[in-house]
Amino acid sequence: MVESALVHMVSSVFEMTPGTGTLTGNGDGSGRGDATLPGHDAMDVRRSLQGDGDAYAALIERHQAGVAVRMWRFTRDRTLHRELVQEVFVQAYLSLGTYKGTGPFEHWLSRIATRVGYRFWRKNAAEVSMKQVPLEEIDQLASEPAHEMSPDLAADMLHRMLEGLPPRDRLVLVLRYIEDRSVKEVAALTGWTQTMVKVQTWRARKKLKRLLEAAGVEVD
Amino acid sequence: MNELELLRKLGCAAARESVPHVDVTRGTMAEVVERQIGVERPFAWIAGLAAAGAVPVVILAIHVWNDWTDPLLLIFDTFGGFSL
Repeated sequence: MVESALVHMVSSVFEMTPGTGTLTGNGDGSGRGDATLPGHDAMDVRRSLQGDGDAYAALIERHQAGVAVRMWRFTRDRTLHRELVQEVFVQAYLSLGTYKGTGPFEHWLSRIATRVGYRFWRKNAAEVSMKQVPLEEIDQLASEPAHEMSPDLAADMLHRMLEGLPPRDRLVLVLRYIEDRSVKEVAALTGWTQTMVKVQTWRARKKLKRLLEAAGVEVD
Repeated sequence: MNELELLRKLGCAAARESVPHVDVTRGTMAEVVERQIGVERPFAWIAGLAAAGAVPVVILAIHVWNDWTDPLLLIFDTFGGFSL
């Protein structure tokens, strides 16, 4: 009941803002993006731009699990995590008009999620300093094979370890080595040049090494 | 073990962690409505002030128009010689 009322309200908001943008030009289905988009997403994006709140709700339902996985890398706090996931979809709605439809909606959403997460890290960067990162157990944990490690403990340790780095370094390390993305992909997600990604990666590695050494962890 | 191996190892183990389930559909919809209203609120103020400013102008315009088009004045003008 409440949900349908909200969807109705959103529909009216959508109607109040016609032309929030266009999907490959005019949103009439004749755009070049239609051929490359998965059918449901393309249709729902087009309907959302035309003022259909239900269509946007369907997009959220389809993609929120994937976004939740991504945003879990930015915080270990469940409340903040939920807020971040929601913020991604709010930002996506507000810039839906800029979606050109030349690639999958998921990729476009990933860029927004990366930006939202990075902004969150930057906002909270002042609260964390290298000295505050307790990494005592890391040596013990590192001696275990990856498949035998407790996932929760490993994730917690990883998060604490990265917290000691500036947001840019954290971001590039997560994208390059945790998500295993290429330089080109990282550049596309962050909006940086490929050269900048390479330089940033090199710097981030050096800082991580220093951080581990400072915590008493033996690294080669 | 170097820093990258350690990072990858932890990342690999962390990937098996279950991510909290979230449903943000309703929250997103509500937030979108709220932000949209927030965006439109300043425009509503401008529209209100403009409307308030327009009221005396319209009243004055009606008075001036009525004076110009007063039927008695027109009749007097037609037959000439009289003026109020």
